[in-house]
Formats: sequence, C-alpha cells, structure tokens
Amino acid sequence: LLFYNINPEYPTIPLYKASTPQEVESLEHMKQLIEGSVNGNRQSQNQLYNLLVPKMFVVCLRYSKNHDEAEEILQEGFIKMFEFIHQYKFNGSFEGWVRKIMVNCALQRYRSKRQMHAVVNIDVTALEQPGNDDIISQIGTKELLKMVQQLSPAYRTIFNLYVLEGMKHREIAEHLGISEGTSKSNLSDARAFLQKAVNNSMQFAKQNLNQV
Amino acid sequence: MNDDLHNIDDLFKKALEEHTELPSSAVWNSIDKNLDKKKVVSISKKYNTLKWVAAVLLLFSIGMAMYTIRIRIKNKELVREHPAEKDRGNQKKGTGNNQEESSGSAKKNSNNITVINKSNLPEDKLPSDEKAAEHITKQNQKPLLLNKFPITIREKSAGTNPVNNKKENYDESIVPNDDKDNIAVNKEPPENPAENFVLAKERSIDNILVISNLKERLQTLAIQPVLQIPAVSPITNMALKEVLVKHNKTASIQQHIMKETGSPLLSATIFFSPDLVSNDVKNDHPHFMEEDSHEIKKDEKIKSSYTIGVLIDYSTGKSWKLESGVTFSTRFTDIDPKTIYARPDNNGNINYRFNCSAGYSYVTLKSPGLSPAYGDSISALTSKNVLQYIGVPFVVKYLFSKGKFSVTPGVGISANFLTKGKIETTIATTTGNEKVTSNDILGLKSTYFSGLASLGVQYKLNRAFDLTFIPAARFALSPINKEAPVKTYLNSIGFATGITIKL
Repeated sequence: LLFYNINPEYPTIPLYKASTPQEVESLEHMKQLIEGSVNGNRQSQNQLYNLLVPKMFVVCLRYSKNHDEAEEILQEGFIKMFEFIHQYKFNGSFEGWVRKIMVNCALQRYRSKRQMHAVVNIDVTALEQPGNDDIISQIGTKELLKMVQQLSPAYRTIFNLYVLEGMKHREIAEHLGISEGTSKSNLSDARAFLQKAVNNSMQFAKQNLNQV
Repeated sequence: MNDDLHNIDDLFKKALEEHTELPSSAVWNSIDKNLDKKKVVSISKKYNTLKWVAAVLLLFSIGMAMYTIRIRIKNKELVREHPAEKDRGNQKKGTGNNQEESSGSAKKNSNNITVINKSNLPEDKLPSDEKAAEHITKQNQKPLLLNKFPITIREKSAGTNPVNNKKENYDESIVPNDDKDNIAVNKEPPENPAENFVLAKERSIDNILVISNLKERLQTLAIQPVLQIPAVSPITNMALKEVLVKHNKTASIQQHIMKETGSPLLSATIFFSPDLVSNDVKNDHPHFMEEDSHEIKKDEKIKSSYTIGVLIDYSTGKSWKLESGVTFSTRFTDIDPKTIYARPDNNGNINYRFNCSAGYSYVTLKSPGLSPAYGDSISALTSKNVLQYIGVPFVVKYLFSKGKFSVTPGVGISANFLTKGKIETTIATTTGNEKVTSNDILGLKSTYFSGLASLGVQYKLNRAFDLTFIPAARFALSPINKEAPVKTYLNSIGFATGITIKL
C-alpha cells in the first residue's frame, strides 16, 4: 500500500490515546468503525470518513495548487484507504496511517504530472494580498495555506515533505528521484518565497490597520 | 522572524497542522460510487483462480461432451447401416449354402457372435461345437444370467422366423443338462417379431457383459470361425450387432469418421507467424519515479515479434476439432536512451538499476572507479530487450468446409513458459561507452497465460497437404511480471501461415 515508504518516524498526530473514559469510548468506537469498514459496511465507512476528512483535507490542500486538485487527491486517498483498510493492524495511530496514504497519493500525482510542470519563476508581487477579514489576526491560516499552494509543485512538495512530514533531504531525494543538493536548493527557495510572502502580507495588514 | 528561516518552518507547521477544513459533499458521493466498483473488482480478484480452473474445466467438459455425443451418434449410424433386410437376404442365401455364408460372415466381422442352430449345421460340425459349449458352461461356475439374454440360443422353443415364417427349434445341446437349472432361460417363445425386436433392444445393453464374456471365452477356445446361421431371427442378429458395436466402438467409429468426413483424425500444421504486439503496462509496486509505468512505456517500442510452431489437430467428429501443440515466440523491444539510477539490490549492494516493461536488472560496470552511490544516475544509451517463450495452446475449433476451402474458428488458452529474457544496453561512462548484457531479468515470471481466438482458413492442395492461414488474437490473461514495479500484459495479433499435413 505504501508505495513510497514514507519515513515511519515522521510526526503524526495520534487520533486517540486512551487515557480518559471518553477517550476509551472513542477508541472503541473507532475500532468498531474500522472493523465495519473492513467488512464493507458503508455506514461505518461514512462515519470514518467524516471523522478523518477535516484533517486529511488540509494535508491534501498542502500538496495541491487549489481546492479542486486537493479534493481529487482526497478522494483517491480515501478510496485506497478503504481498499486496504484490512491491512491496518491497530499497531499505531490510525490517523497517521491514513495520512501516509494521502501523502503517497499526492506524491504519486506529483510524479505522474511531473513532466507537465513548467518551471515557475518566483514572483512575490504576483501573490494575492490578504483580505480585510484576515487583518485582525494579521495572517490567517488560510492565507498561509494559500502561500504554500502558490509555490511551484516541486517547491511545495519538498517543503511539505521536509517541514511537515519531517523527512530528511536524503529521503526526499530518494523518493522524488532527485539529488540531495536539488532538494536542499528547492527547500531554500521555497522558504525564501514564503518568507517574502509572509513579510508582504504582514506589511499589507499593517497598512490596512493604519488606514482603519 | 523575518530573517529566521526556521521560524518560517515553525509558523507553517503550527498553523497548518492544527488547521481543519471540509471538502464539498461531492467528494463522499464519488468515493461512495467508487467503493461499489472496487467491491466488484475485489470479488472478481478473490475468485480469479477459481475462475481459471472453471474455464479449463468447462473447456474440457465441452470437449468430452462433444466427443461422447459424436461417438453415440456414429454408433447409431453404424447400426442403421446394417439393416435387417441385409441380414434377411443373407439368411435366404444362407439356406442354400450355410457353411459358405457363415464362414463369409465370420471373415467380415471377426467379432461377430453367431447363433447356432442345430438343424442347419452340418452334421460333422455339431459335435465339436457342442463340446466347446459344454466346456464353456463347465468353466463358468456361476450361472450365466441368460434369463436377461434376449437371444434364446440355448433354449429349445418355438421361434418365428420373419423371413420364412417357420417355427424353428433352437438348439439346447450347448447347455448341459446339469447346468440348465442354473440358467434361468426365457420360457416364453417369441411370437411377434416386432415385440421381440423391442425386447431385444431394451435388453441388449444389460447383456453387454454377458456377451463380451461369452465372446472372449469362445475366442479363447479357438472355435472361430463360428458359423452364422441364417435361419435365426434377424432381430436377434441386430441386437447382437448393436451390443458388439458398442463393445468395439472406438476403433470402428474412428474409422467410420475418417470414411465419412474424408478428413483424418490427426493433422499437423507447421507455421510461421509475424505478430503485432501491444504491451499493456500498469503500475504494480513502483518505488521510484523511474519505475512509473508511463516512464517505462514511453521509452519502449516493440521492434519485431514472431511465432513459429507445430499444431496438432484432433477431429472429435465431423466438425469439431481439438488443437494443441508447441509454439516458440520471440519478441524484440527497443528502448530509447534514458537515465538510470543507482539503487540497492536484494543483497544491499548499490548498483545501477535498469527498468523495463519486462522487469528490471542491475547493471554492474566494469570500468574502474565507477562504483555508484545511492541515487547516482547515469545514461543508458539505446537498449534492447529480448523475450522468448515456449507456448502450449489448447484450442477448440469448429470446421466449416466448402469445396477445397475450409474455415475453422476457434477459441482456447495457452500456457507460455519463459525460455529466455535478456536486456542489452550501452552505458555512457566518463571513459567511453560500455556494453552490458543481462540474461537475468528480475521480476519476470517464468509462466504466463493467454487467451486465444483464431480464424483458420485452409486450402486443400491434395490428399496429404493443406495450405493454412490462421489470423489469431492472443490476449494476456496474466501479467508477465511478478514483484516488479510494473505489470505488463502482452497482447498480440498473429498472422500464421503454414502447411497442414494429414496424418
């Protein structure tokens, strides 16, 4: 199932660590849902989907350029998850396991469309300016997500794998079929791009606050 | 924060990991629909093996059923070919010269069992036959089940001969008196010939063992040729013939089929077939970018492919044929220049890995100082892949013939056994080009199965040879790879041309 052998040590957020009665109940409920999904129970599958989709969709958004592409990855990831859910042995975090699938789907998509990706010149001025709604919190999470999405596919993938999946450059190079130097260089460029984008956004937010 | 790049990482990590967002409801609807499709696929995969076993059994059963039905039909036809009139005619003639007629019949059919009528036997022949019969009954300690036997050969009773309408006395002399009690004979004399015929037909099958047993004993005692007595009822003769035809049906039916269809039971076709091959390459276990099926397929072009072989046809009847034999196919694939990467092999050694649709192999360069590190890349110039298989087809064919032409559509399966898999490539190194050949392609299965659909056309040159043209589609039922990055299905259309020799 895990086509690209994502580093198993990358940080994951366990869906459940049963320490309180509520969590134990939640754990049991989760087990039931997983077992129901293994047996092909559509109601269990739907409940499991509803439980996981808020976080998984953000994972997909990080690896895609827009909302539609993220939904395609999400759909593919969940189909794979339900197809191979019988392989989950309750050994680790279920959310982490599902997240791996989502990342794998995103990487597979990136690699299959790699030939079509044009080289993107970083042009900070082309970034959309944050809206008035985000001024109070200066930079909202959605704005940050949008910045990531505006990275070129290569930069975005490497930034995600390094920063959010916790992979090393050696592993990234191995999985993407590039050299370590390329991985480091792309990460550096991605950071520079995001840095400028954040600065611009902050300045824009301050200007708007002053005007108000 | 502005100048600290690591803060950027933390900022995004913290913000995005805790962020949640919902997609549109259309996503679940699509997943829901796709899960239904996957369920269907998984069931079909689950029973994949059983499906193939069932297909083979079905083909085998159809073949056997056709064979059996054909044999039965021919059996009936053979019986019809010896009508009662013929027997009657013989009997009429036989009254004039019984001895000659009987010996003539015996020569025609050595397996024939005759009924002995004492009144028509020459006087000097009778004693020896009586002794022989006596010997038989003595040998047979268990009572013969002659009560079921339709022909009252040992019964002294009045029988009507439909030919001369005479009441005849049947000989009882071959049954010793002391054994008569053990033999439950039919006490009622046959009165109506038609009824007797039906009775004989019904009982004849039950008496196969008895007849064959008796026949063997007679042969053992070397009392052949046994006299054919024309005075006996023709109905009795027919029943006997039917039983004997069934008993000896295999050889006689095969000869009959040959006579009737004018074609031999066996024929051999030697052919050569240029093939048009199409590779269907799908992802199986790709770990790296260069192992993606699209990457592999776009670099490959099948240069040539051909099949030679010998096929043996076996006629199971007038129209149906079974075909099998041996084929030998060779396929050459050209691979465009591409970059290959150093990857760990199964032993943990780092070598350049060459991927193609057939599988993969590790390229070890002889040039000094070229030990690669993990992830290193190098250019592989134009490469070539050769695959050779021996195939054993099994095809069911149906024959349409008109004049000198015959058309035989057929379907079947073929098991293909790998005999050779080779990758030849030239690696561009800093010291020049180095040619590397690998005869060990990893991830390549030793056997794969393909389905066959053919439409053979034959032109009869003479009694011994036919000119044959067989366009055939071969579609892969299983991939040629196992535990490889990709699954490759070999499909092809062949145009076999050859000569058929009638054996």
